[in-house]
Amino acid sequence: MFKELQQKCSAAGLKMTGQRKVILQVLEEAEDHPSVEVVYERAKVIDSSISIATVYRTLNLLDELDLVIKHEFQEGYSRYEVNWDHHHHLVDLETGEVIEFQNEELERIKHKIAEDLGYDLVDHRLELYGKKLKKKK
Amino acid sequence: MTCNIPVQEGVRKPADCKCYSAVMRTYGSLRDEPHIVAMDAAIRVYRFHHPEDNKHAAHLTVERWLAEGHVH
Repeated sequence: MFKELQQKCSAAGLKMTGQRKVILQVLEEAEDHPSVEVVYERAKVIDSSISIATVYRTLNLLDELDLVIKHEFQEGYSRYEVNWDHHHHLVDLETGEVIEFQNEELERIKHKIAEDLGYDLVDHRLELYGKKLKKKK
Repeated sequence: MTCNIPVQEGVRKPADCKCYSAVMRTYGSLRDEPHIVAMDAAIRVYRFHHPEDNKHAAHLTVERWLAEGHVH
């Protein structure tokens, strides 16, 4: 995944310096949506020479290149996550094959469900399990 | 649906059976997801093939298969 992220950055024209790699590593490993300060604290553990200005600049660049998603959770600061291609999985129970899929209608429905329940959808997970339909003769 | 893999100490041994390859394939395909997600999917596939196993036995078997198969 980290390599894939680096390739995306390079393809977008972002020069991969050592410090940028550290920031990408922090974002890739994050299971939460870290703020700039949290990214900075985590990056400093890996490379103590990183400054908060570098973290700000890099996150802004990644945001401009659409490689990260900037979340505004009405907390007075932004949180970031890597913008992986959003997809879901369908697992074939018989063979174990995993099929990735995207579905706009599903995306709309998920947001509507959350909204109807009085929430702003922030994250979710969905896996479908199925058996292949038998073709009719 | 079941495959007659022998049971030993509550854990089924991997054998030349489609449930084993299906379980390993599922986990391997989801290895970029959090471990718990890939594991859960692998267990669901296993239980589809072995509905007679309870959750605990299924978990033990899949965990052993993954450890022995070096998928981690």
